[in-house]
Amino acid sequence: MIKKVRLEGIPLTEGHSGLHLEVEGGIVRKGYYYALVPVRGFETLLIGRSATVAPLLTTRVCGLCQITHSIASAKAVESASGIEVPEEAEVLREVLGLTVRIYNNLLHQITISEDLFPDKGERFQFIRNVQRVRKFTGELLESIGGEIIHSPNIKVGGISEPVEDFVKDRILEQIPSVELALKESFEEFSEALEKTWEREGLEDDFGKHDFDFFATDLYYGKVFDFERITFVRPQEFLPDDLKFRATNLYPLVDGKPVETGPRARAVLFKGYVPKGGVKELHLLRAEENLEALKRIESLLSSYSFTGELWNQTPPSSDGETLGIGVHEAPRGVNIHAVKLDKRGKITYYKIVVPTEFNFFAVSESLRGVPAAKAEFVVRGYDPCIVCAAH
Amino acid sequence: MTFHRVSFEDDDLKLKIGFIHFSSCSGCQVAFLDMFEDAVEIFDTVELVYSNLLTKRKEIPYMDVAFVEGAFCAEDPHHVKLIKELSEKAGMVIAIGGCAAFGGMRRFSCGSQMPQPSHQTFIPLTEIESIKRKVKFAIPGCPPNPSLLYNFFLAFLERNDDFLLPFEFIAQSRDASGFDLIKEVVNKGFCVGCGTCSTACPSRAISFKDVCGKPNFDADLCVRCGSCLAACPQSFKPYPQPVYT
Amino acid sequence: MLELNSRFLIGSYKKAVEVESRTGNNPLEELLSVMFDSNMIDGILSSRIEGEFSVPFLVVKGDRVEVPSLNRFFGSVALLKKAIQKYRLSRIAVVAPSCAIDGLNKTQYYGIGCNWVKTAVALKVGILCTGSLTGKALTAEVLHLTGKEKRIKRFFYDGGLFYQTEEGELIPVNLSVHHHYINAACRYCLNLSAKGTDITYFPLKEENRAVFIVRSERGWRVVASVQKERPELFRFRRLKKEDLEGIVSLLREKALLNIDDILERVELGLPVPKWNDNKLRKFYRIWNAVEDYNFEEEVF
Ligand code: SF4
Ligand code: SF4
Ligand code: SF4
Ligand code: SF4
Repeated sequence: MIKKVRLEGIPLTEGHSGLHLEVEGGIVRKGYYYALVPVRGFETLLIGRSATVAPLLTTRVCGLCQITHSIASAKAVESASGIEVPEEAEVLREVLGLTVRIYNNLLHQITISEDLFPDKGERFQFIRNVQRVRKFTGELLESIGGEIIHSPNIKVGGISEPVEDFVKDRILEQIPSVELALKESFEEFSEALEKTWEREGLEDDFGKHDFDFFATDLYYGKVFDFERITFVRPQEFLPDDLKFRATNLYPLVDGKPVETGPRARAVLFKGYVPKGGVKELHLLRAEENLEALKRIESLLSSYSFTGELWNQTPPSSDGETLGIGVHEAPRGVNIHAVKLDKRGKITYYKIVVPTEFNFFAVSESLRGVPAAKAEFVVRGYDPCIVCAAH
Repeated sequence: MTFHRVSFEDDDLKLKIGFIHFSSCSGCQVAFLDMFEDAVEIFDTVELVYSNLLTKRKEIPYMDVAFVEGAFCAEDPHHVKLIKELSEKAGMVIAIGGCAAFGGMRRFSCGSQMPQPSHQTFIPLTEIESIKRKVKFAIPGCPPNPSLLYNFFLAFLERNDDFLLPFEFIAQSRDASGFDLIKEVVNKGFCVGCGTCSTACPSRAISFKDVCGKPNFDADLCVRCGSCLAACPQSFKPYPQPVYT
Repeated sequence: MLELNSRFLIGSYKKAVEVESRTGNNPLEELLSVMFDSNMIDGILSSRIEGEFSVPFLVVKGDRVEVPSLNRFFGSVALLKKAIQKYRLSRIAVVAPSCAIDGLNKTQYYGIGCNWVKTAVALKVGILCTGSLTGKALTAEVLHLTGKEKRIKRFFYDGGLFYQTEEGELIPVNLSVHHHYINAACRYCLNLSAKGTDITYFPLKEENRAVFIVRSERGWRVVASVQKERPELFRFRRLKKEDLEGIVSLLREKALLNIDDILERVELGLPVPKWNDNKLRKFYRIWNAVEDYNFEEEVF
């Protein structure tokens, strides 16, 4: 007999979300994952405002991966109005984006630490180690982005403040010790992950699916044809009350559901052969931290950021051109699309965040897992619900 | 300040705190974690009984203090339920961040966005009658600075009323933004031109206007977080005057 | 009852000294330079004159040390976030009048709007201040006083308030005229001598002479160690209470003008900022009360 089960409020994840499961003999036959935080309406509130403020406002879509929105937003406005960005500013944006990747991924490790470390002492020790690395990312975000959360320095046309060499050197000097700490916490994390899988009796490929992967770049983000994305709306297929309660859209790429994020980047840009399942996803996400740190080091040491980093040409467009900004956020491809008029006022705005893509991937991964373990699938994707219901 | 307790079990000497999330970006809760190592010490001193992000508990239990971020969305049935739960289960509510305290960015929301175009009404917690009397303190910022959260937390645990008093005023005042800085301080002839507001603004909406020695407020950039007014030495002053060595 | 005595006007201090710089430079600039060289500080937060304006100014190692030469002190705290969150300075010296230091104190105490400030300040130098003027206000004031437009180079105290022009001419400033031209908020100011700082500074007639009213242990340590580090640079003369009488009577004259404005403002019922617990009314009550009042603790 098929039972319908609702789980709403998934602990150890961001925001408020739910699972609608059809369960037979304790096993999920079919599952839907959906967001339950209100739609704040960033796409409509931006209309009529100056495009120059878009990065500053859209960063407030999310307090976990803040900067990915300001970057995607700035790039979208720049592309709609043909504004050229100084190369060094793009490099700094990449650095900031990668910093948030580490900052956010480690936050996720803290979030799921109760799963990983049943012993409170061990858990707190792990968090302490992780926080040491996060502190470094916080310092980097403050120094270059202006604030830890919601960096005001990302502007349409570049970065508002140059970075003096002594500031850059101070950051570079810390990287070796941060790398060491990061490696250590990676070991602790992967060990704890193995143990968790054993403790919970989960298969190695627990929570797998056979969807395609979607990513545009390993580190930064490349332009993507927005036409290839279409949306399924909750009203089209979710049951009953969820039609008016679910607050996310389900985007498709070329008409198909996809997974985006660390695994997608590894498969598409590093030739990684996926085994499937969420344990692998956890590990790939953690590995990205080390790669990101290496990349930050190499970018910072190969450029100088003391010159003008901001092209202050006011944005303006024809009201027709769709400007696209793509950034590889911690959780995957983040896309902002904008149209502006001649005065530089926004006439159209659309945000597609990685978690939205992954709603279907999570749903699909639930198929065949024990209903009692469904939450482990969700946590594997590190969903960001506030982003999804922007 | 009194804390009502429902039971007296083991961990009971510790203050039970919870984080509740309304319509927000979660940045305020993350800002707590951005105290970095200090956050671990704080979470060790109190008992974190509820947070979607950090605890496994599904039901909201009794909390001595609920730290609440985000604005209430009237069209969301879950929010309606949350408000009821808060009024029953929280001994005290502390509104953290612009969204919860003064509306913040939610003041710009107008709804009509897919998939739930009906989500249109956003109200900061300090304006909701049923829990207003529980909202004892409001903390400005978007998000509040980790340093502020840390100091506030210590003052709260130590019952340092000198420190806490202004945040009580702030909870009563509803509006605080760059406009209010101009209205309350500059227009009233109290701006000394110190530049503190400009430093305090997380969105750089306030620069310094050299010609008149006063803040230059760019309303387009203001996210209505209240930091500027709260930081201004003319809005209130610490008392007694702190001395640092 | 409040008495406008030196305890109220100057406040408590450890020692007052007249400092002469033997190199001919401004003694405070000299002191701060030595502190920079010996790594006692890693930055100075202040304001400086640029043309007609006063602009926020952050000095880091290698920059020229400057302190405000005109009584135009705006924006000093505006670069605090840059100093701490971007540059990660941890031993900052602040040179500003009391009102700006209030802003800094507040940020230290609460942490509102800027992180990690509490332990980042190594020295607070308060500028003794009879009111701050914008460029336009100074032009108008000098026109008022002399009938001519003049280029003012510096201000100093010598019994009264004086301006020195680029050409070396000295202009005595009548305080009631001055009171008219200063920034609106300065008319309600009750901490002209920057009580609560480490050192209160004011310039004297000769460019290389100034008074340091050393208030705190930290202020005293700074002066002592700079003296030890570079004994050849400075000549210190200990000031007796009587030596400060001139400045006390100047402060008294200015405070009376301010108090008149405060009383008038309260009587007119003009509003104060909504969160400030009605500070002017508080003063009004104290001023009109008969009993003694412990104003040392009070912050107006
Ligand atoms: S106040 Fe700012 S940081 Fe806090 S929830 Fe609102 S938008 Fe996010
Ligand atoms: S001006 Fe800045 S500090 Fe003030 S409310 Fe607006 S965003 Fe906040
Ligand atoms: S903080 Fe300073 S500059 Fe800003 S309004 Fe207040 S007194 Fe004026
Ligand atoms: S008179 Fe007072 S308020 Fe005015 S600048 Fe001087 S110290 Fe500040």
